[in-house]
Amino acid sequence: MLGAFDMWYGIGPPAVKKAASEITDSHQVEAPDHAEEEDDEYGAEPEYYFDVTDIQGSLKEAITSIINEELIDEFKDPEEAPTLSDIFAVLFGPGSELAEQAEYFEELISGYEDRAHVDDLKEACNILVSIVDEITPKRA
Amino acid sequence: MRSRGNNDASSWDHKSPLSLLDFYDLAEAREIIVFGSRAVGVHRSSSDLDILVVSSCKRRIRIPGVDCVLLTSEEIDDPFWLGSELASHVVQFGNWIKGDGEWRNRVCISDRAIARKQHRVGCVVRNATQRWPRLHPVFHMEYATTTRRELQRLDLLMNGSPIPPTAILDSKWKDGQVSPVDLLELAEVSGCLSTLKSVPEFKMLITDPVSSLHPASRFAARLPLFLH
Repeated sequence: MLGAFDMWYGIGPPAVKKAASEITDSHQVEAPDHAEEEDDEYGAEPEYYFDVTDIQGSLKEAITSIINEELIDEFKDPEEAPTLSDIFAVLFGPGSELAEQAEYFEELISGYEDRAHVDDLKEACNILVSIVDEITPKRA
Repeated sequence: MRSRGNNDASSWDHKSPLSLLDFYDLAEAREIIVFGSRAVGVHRSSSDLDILVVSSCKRRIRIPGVDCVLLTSEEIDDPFWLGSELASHVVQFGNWIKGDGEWRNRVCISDRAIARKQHRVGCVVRNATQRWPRLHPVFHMEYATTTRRELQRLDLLMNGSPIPPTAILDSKWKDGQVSPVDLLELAEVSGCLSTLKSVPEFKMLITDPVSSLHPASRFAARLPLFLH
């Protein structure tokens, strides 16, 4: 999911770009559905917005992987799609910083009118990097 | 259309209560309009309050449970905004808390808003079909519901009608006021019908009146009668 930020939006620190290159090396990926900088008879769009469908789809795949592992009883047979923050609330506690970070991450990539500003996506990417760093086992 | 914040991941505090600065920004706003499900009274208890704030400031306002769209006085007069899906929704369904909405008579759904929606439909369909084998069935349902709603919105935009809150779209679908055949024709208009047909289960879920009512939208059955 982290690599999706660079692959689809060209966003992210070196760690993200590395993840993206690993994804593109191993998968054939169709051209992204970027929101281009729009400029037509109505004039340039005030700021720079991106369609968030790609990153949301990437999140759905990541959550599917977690569900399919059947490690979390609550989500073994979900009738409604759990959010990442729902999952983190079970794993790390409802009020945990990780659950709240996940909730904020999901808010940032929800966009408005299905688009998010590049600054929101950058912020989401930074949060995801910090979440990944937090949950990655540290060497002694 | 939100105002920009900084990019420091360590500085987020979206759970904080309304700050003095937020309060000041709202007090100084030229216009405040409530829109979305709460403006129409079809919200759930968990629904956010959607507000549009027209102000001179571009600072992000973060209030728990509030989804705030910020526009400057210049942006509110921009043809891009006046032709947008959201502007037409706000004018039709919004409640003005502050300000006179002088711009509302100039709102008219633009060809660009329609083209953007067609693009959106294409994006969702392509994403769903590409990821379909790797997604849990609950996400199949979610994609089907999203696609059906977006096709309904496209239909309304193409007819020059403002988009109502999602609960009303679901209610119309549930009541059989939307034809599945029409939805597929709209998918064709959007250039994604063949992609959609490449995953027959996806196509079936979209056009099945029961399947594409996602659990999250079951509350639509409780809509007041006047909205049907």
